[in-house]
Amino acid sequence: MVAPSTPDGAPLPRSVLSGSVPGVVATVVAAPSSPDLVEALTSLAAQDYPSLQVVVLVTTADEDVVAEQRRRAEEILPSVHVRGVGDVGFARAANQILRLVEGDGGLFMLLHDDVALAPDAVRQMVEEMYRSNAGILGPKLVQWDRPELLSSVGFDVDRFGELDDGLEPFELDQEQHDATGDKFALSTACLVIRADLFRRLGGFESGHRFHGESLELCWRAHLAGARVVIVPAAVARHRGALADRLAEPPSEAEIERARLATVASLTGGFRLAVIVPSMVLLALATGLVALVRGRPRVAWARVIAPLSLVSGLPGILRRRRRVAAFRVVPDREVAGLQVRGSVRWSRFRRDRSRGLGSATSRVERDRSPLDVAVWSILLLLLLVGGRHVITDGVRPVGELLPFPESPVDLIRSHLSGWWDRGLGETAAQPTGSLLVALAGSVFFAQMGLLQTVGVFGSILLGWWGIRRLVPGRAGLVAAVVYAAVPLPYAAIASGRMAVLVAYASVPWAILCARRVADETQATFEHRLAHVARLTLVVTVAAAFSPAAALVALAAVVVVAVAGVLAGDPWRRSLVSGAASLVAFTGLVVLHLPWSLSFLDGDGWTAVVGAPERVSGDRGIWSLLRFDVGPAALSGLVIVAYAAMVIALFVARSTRLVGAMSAVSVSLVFLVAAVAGDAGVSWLPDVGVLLAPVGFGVALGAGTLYASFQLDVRGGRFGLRQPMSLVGLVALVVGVVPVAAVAVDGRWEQPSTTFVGQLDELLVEPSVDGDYRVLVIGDPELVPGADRFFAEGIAYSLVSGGRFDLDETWSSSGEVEERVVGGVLSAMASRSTTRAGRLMAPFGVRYVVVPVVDRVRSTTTSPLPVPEGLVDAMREQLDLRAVYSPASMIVFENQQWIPISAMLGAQASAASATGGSSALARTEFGDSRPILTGTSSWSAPSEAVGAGTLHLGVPFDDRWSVRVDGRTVRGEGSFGAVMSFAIDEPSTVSLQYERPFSRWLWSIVQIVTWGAVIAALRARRRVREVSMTPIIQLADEAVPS
Amino acid sequence: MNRRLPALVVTLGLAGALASVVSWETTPTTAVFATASEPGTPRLVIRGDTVSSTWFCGGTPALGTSENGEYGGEVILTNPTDSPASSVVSIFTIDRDPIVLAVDVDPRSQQIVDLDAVVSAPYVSAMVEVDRPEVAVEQVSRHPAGDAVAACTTTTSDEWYVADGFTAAGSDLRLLVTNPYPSAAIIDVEISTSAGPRTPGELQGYVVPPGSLRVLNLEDAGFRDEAVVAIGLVASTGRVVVAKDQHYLGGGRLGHLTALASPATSDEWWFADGAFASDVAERLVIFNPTDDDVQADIVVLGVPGLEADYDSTALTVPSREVVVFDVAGVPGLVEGPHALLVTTWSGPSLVVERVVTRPAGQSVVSSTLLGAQGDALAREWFVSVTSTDGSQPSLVVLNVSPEPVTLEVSSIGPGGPEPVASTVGLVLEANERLDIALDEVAGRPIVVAASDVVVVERLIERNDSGIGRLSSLALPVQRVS
Repeated sequence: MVAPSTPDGAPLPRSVLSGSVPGVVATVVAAPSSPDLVEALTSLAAQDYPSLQVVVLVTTADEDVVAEQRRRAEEILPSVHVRGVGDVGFARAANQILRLVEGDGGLFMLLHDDVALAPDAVRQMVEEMYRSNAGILGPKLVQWDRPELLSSVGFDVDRFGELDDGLEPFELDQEQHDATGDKFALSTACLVIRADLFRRLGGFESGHRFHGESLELCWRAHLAGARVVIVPAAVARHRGALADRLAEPPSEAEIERARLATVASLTGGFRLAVIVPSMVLLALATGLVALVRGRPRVAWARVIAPLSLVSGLPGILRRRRRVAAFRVVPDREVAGLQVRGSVRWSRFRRDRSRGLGSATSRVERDRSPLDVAVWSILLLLLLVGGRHVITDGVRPVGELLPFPESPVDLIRSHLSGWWDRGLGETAAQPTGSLLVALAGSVFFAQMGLLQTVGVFGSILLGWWGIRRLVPGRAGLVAAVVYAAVPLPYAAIASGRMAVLVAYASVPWAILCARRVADETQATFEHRLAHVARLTLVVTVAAAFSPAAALVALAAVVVVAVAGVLAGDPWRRSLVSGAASLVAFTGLVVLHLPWSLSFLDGDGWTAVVGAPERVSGDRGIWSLLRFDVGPAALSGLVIVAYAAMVIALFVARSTRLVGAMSAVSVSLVFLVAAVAGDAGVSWLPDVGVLLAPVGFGVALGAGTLYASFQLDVRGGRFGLRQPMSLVGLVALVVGVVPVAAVAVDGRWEQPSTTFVGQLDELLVEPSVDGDYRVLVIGDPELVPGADRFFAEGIAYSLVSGGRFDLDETWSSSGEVEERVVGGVLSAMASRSTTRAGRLMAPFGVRYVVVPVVDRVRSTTTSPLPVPEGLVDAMREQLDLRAVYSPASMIVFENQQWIPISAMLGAQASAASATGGSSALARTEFGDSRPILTGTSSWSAPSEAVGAGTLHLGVPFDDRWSVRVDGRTVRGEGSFGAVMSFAIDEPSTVSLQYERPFSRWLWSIVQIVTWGAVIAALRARRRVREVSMTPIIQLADEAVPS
Repeated sequence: MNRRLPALVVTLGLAGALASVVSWETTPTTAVFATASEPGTPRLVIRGDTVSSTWFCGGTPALGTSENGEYGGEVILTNPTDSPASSVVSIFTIDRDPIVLAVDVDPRSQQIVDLDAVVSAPYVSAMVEVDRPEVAVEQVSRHPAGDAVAACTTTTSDEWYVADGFTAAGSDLRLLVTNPYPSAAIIDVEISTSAGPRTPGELQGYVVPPGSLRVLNLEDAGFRDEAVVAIGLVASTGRVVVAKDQHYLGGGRLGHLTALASPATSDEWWFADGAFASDVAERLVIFNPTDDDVQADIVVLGVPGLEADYDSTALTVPSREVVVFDVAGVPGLVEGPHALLVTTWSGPSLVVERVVTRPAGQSVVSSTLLGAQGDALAREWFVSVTSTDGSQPSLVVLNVSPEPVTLEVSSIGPGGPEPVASTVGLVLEANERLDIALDEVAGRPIVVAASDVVVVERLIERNDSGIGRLSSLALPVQRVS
């Protein structure tokens, strides 16, 4: 047998190897910057127990931090062993003692770093172990600062794994709990456990992270036949408040999942059949109760937790197999140790009888009735304000175009490599379409519902984001003011999806960036996770509005700079700025290959969208009150700016940083919005620029409230007091009118829309063949306008006249610009009267000039139709005026060729020539539609005669025709599109060959998105530091 | 305060920037897709990016030969370039679908489409689409009472005006309205006579079907025996082409005329030719279709003997009324040729036609001409159909610039442009008019190029007998780069 030794070869200390008392290895799991460790170690040094070794396990892999802790510890306990174990959580850290200590003849005492033992505590517990033959023992825990108050005397547990400490809040220690006795579970703050038992149980269940370890360990100890005993004679002070000390405390969902997994792993098989359904029912019931009580996160956590039983089934089975190996006590006996009924229900009744409600957790204690009331009112206003949107769906206005009907088709289209936007092209489709498709699958193809949820969700996300950004009740004030900003309602009314995206993403981007900056002392994994979050926020935003994402990132930078100006450490701002840069890079990578399309010459226009109008006419006052749509309110919201400015004068310390950030972000983006309104065309939509302005106003309001609470109230009387009061009154005045938007029930979205009318007016493609519609006019009135003919004139080509979400993304469309732009130029210069024939090969059947959309342009105040546009149309010999509603002027191209058609004789002859002059002379009227409904992923077949098969898409050799099993390649036709020679009557189908690069890009996307999502969870995957034994206990277990 | 100071300074800076941006002056502008087409005097527009040029001819009788003579019409395509041109001619009738012909025109040649040979109908009109902008299209109307040559136009319009209509002594006046578009046009017609303006009910909301011609007989509409019939036609929907077919049968006028109406009013109307003689009756018919009375000035030009301080004649033309001015009434006017200008300071508000009745053999012939609008004055004019009689003056050129101009007159022959020998080195003084005989190049297309703006009128035999001549404008050439 090799003698045990330390890594450097020195023999292990044998001080506890022999003697009359068992050796105790006190294992303190300490945070890297634990404030209480010194006192905890001092209490260990003062123990009267003669055979005590102390090991400190620091939860970091940073050797410098470990060395620093070692230095501090050795000042108190020269013989202490200090090791870094990585940020693995308490359970896995404590388990390291099994590797650091050899031998079973002793006891492990496992402690938090915020526990200070009474000098006789260890001795008392060891003595009690011998008296009670206990396997696990724990001291009476009292509060750190007020030791007269009890903190924990062990837990009773019901069959559902709910813990009951049996204590009242602030319960005085009057020796009422001083009877030594069995408990089902003890606090992990301080546990003494026989080394052999701990080793047999395999230590703590390593899946737990700061919660649930104790229950699982003690439950397993019971199953192994060990007693779990509370020893009130042993006393320890415990600070607790874990949630306050952890950068990321366990969430409600994590706690619920851990509890259910423990119950499922440790309950006997027969009883489990009853327990699991009961747990599910209980989860639903308590979730419902939590929802009613205004705690949606808790409700969600409880309702969703039972699903973890399915997803975590392999782990549960593995744990059950492990337990089976040491189970010596029948399940019914262990169940007998548990309390009957529901601890949660008992606790609720007990708390009610004490008039405490069920406020037990920190989060719950912080959630005052005011919070619940305010959020309820906000939600009510949202639901009432959008009640008709909920029942009737979002009207297709502006960018709020209908989602495609089939998410499956959307995915197939996305993966095909062919983008059927405009004239169509082999190009990367926007990532947003894939996200919508995936979300649509989750919604079981209820795409209208998905859109409604998206619209409402963006508003709620914005409120939630700013609520999380601003701590305390000030966050509530900020959320209320953000909700009072009429921007999102006006955006819905006027169909500005980009504005909604910006409204939702700006607070989250700033929140994530701040988290990155606030954790400069934290691990790389933490920073990585928050950068990943920031990246994900802006990437998802960019999927629907690149401009909104850029504005959000710009807002992050502005806030960072403002922080420096207000005295924040420059390093923090630098980190924020760097994080935004990384996030920008990340969004570019995550949107590959779509993001490459923005590198084209007109890429910036594709990012910022169509210039709204030829010149601005809103003016500063309209912009100040966020008047970008009909749902804008009266000017009262302007007074909220006063609160923001006042905050700058009354705030101190970190509040000053908030105030400066608020003012800066508001002013910077207000300047940009005014400039954009004045005609600076390279700026994004004014509404998008106003989103950070609204955010700044809300942040300023929250800061003013916080400043009033912390910097003004109770201070010496001065200007600050009246200024703050004026500001707070201004807030109230500015916020109240938000109720007015709820009256209409659809935020003044029009009941009849241009897109809806157009869809009703035009002929079904299935009747005469597939066709396209050219919509041209004022950029504000052309849905999805991404091509500009001249200043104030944009156009869009849409298949079948049905606008959908696809039209909100800009395509490169070089051919479209060359061909359609060329035809429009010819019309404008009056160099042809046969524009219809020139557009015929592309299947352009209708030309539509929008006049009234009932939002930006109304019958009482219509936007002017571009000068000369309608006259130029009327001069065309192929364009027949179609009877149409007053909201639009519609011309039908009498010479159009269906997108897939057999050409007539004259057209067939002309197809080989090309050239606009030849087109202008050719009669196309006798072409016959075939293969209607062909797409890049579906290929219907049809019997045709010999002739020329026309395909009205830009020439692309990936398109081919299958003719009775043979492949016929296409030829250039009419100088821009394709045709296929069909030599004899046969059955044909059009097919598109997916480019190989599409597969590669799909892999790249999966890898990059997977990497970012993995980075989100980086903090949970931490390195474990390798351990070698440093202490040797006696080989023989402590005698029972 | 130390931390607050930089924050306040930056805030003030941002506020200043905001104030600065707010103060930016924005000039509201209107989105312009295309400058409005301004219909006017027919012209030959030659632009480099032309895809196809479309010519609309006003209309002509097309019944063919009868015992009285021929009622027919031709469309003449003149290609002065070195490259062949392709065209499509669409013939509109009252009751049939348009008839479409493909017509190629060789380089430096003319192609004549005999309309009544293609289709026999009381009236037809034609639309010609040519792939070369240099090709000029004109219409010849054959009639027993005299042929008429008239330019076709490249623009349609939603308003048309006829200043001079004449139904006195059984004279026949018809309005030919062509709608070449695939949408129906709806027109309203207002007619001003010596009794004032009227809006006949049957001519309000009159529908002209797509791709068709409609003939409005003014006598049938109740306007018989009117020495003054001015017409204003407005299309409330669509755009049309309007011409008048006028057969003078007495009342001091004889002959036949088919010509486009005026698609616009103007503030200047130029006539290069005119004559004051005892046996010549020359009248200006001035129509004011606007809602306001207009003062018109009549200026006689091109008369060497007329005093330098000669005063123009001022006339008031009441709203929606016609004033007929006898040129012989101009004080101090001497016998002989002259030119005329009718102008007003009231903006584009007038339509002016000149009616000249001259002796022709044993009878007289009336020739009516719509003047050249002010914006049609050009340095280059094209005459595709010219007189075949080279011995008589066939072209009249008026220098309308205040400076002398040099002239280059070329004929387009098989070998390309050739200078007309008699015109080499010609210089026209300011306001001078010049008669040009084409001599041996008679019948050929002619190009008149000047160093400054001029007006060119031509005189063409009214029938094969050579008795009597009609005036018509040449085509001003507008080159657009």
